[in-house]
Amino acid sequence: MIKESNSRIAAVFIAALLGVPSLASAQSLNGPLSNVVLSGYGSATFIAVPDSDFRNDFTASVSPVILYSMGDDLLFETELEFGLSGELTTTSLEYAQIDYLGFERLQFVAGKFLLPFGTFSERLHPTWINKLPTMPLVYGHAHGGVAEESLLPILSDAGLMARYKAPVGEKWAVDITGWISQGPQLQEHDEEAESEGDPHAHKGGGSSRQISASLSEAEIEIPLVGFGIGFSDNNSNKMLGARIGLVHGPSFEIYFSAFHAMYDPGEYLDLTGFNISIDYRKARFDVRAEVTVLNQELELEDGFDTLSRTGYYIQVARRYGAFEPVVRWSHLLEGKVKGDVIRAERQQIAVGLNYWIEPSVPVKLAYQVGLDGENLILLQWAFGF
Amino acid sequence: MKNYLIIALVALLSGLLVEQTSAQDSNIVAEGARLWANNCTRCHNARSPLERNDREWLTIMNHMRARANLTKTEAAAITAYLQMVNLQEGNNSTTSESVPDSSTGLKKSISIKSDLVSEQKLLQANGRISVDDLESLKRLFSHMRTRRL
Ligand code: HEC
Repeated sequence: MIKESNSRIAAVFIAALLGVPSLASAQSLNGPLSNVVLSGYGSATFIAVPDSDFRNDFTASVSPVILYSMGDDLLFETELEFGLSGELTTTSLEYAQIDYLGFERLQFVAGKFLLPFGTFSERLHPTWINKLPTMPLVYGHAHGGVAEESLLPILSDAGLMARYKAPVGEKWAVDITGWISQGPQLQEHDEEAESEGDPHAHKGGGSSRQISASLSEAEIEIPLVGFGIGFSDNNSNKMLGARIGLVHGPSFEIYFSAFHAMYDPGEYLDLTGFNISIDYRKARFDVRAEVTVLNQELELEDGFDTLSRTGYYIQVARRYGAFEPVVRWSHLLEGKVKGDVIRAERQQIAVGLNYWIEPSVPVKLAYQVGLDGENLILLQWAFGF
Repeated sequence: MKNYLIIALVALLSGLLVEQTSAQDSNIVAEGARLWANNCTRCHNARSPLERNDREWLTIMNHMRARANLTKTEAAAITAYLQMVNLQEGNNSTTSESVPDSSTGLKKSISIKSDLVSEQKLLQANGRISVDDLESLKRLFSHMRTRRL
């Protein structure tokens, strides 16, 4: 699985990582690199399966972010992700986008960006922001954590996006974001991702970001759909999506998101998604919840049907000084095609205790109970820099 | 001995700089402090103003503007606040040349700065802002008061 080119990219990148800051500080603050900012995040995670032979493993990841501002109104931002897990090294381009910020309320973005579908993908998945070492069941792309079979990957795609905010009074704001992107594509089935007996068996790392991580046990074969796989689309149909939200100061946010695309080369099979996200912060409490419904139209031997699947999670955290206990409940409902259960129901409870060394440096200890599968013990050190 | 001279000189210079900022700027800084508390704790804990120098904040604020759909005026006010903390705390590797002036269109006056301090005290107690950043804010506002800004 280790691609030679990946390690080469990694080597070049690490050299750049070491080189850019020293170059930048060697320059005067008005020098040519003065508008380059290096940031990002990383993590080291210890995972154990508390069964008889206590299988355990370490993973690590680093996601450098490079920001380059060209004048006041143009920003180039990119994030690369390097993951390490056992013998697997993964590299992916999380986003690479140009933002035009010249207007008061409106922004334009072009390139490959995190899709504003819900809030977890776009805002909460970086390891120093995510309050648990794992992702909620709804999302499945690992960033130094563990991804389980899930509904959607962390969504990132190439296209155009417009973002708008209208403040309403002192504390309220309406927040609207819409995008058009190349959309999902049919994907070859990846046998290796199916390997068993390893705690990261379903780690959806690298470039394969599939929404259907495994084949069904039943006869029906569900085509795999992937996002942001390459810069060439398999059809001329584009993905259209939007998110509209209401934000109240620092304490309350609610968003509705939806997208639509055709995912097959013939352009007649629909893929639609809906999401409601709620954030609530009151005193020491921090509550986040999302519900996602994904409908994938299928062409069967005897006609069409739609695989519809719903997933949700709710997470509650509370601060006690530098400590922060957190609990998250995720639930994926079963998916049926022609009356047969094609995707089994899954439930998960994760309980954690975080210690915040710095506002962007938590140490997270968690116990995750898979109500229908494996339990995990995780210890993660995450850092945003 | 030489070091003391340099420190004294820097202190004098930064004192002058603060003195030069107009009352309008002071309102922008106060508005920036309010917006910082309201917005920069939404997705993650507030990052310290002292983490970055003035120029870096200009770039990072653009990044966060795009993430959080902030308006241009809001971003400018928050930047002014972050840069003012840097100036006050001597964390400046640049001058405050980029502190926006009245032309940014932020005309509204926030007169009760003590309200802001108590608002941020609450956020600190709730674990979203660090103790050090709250202290910098208090020092900044008491400084602004003594300079009658
Ligand atoms: C909508 C959610 C959101 C809001 C609101 C937000 N941030 Fe962020 N912030 C993020 C995310 C997500 C990252 C990680 C970005 C990445 O790694 O791609 C981040 C990263 C950062 C970083 C690390 C450097 C960087 O640019 O990656 C700093 C510093 C930061 N934020 C400061 C702020 C400040 C100051 C504000 C208030 C204006 C703010 N943030 C508001 C989501 C948010």
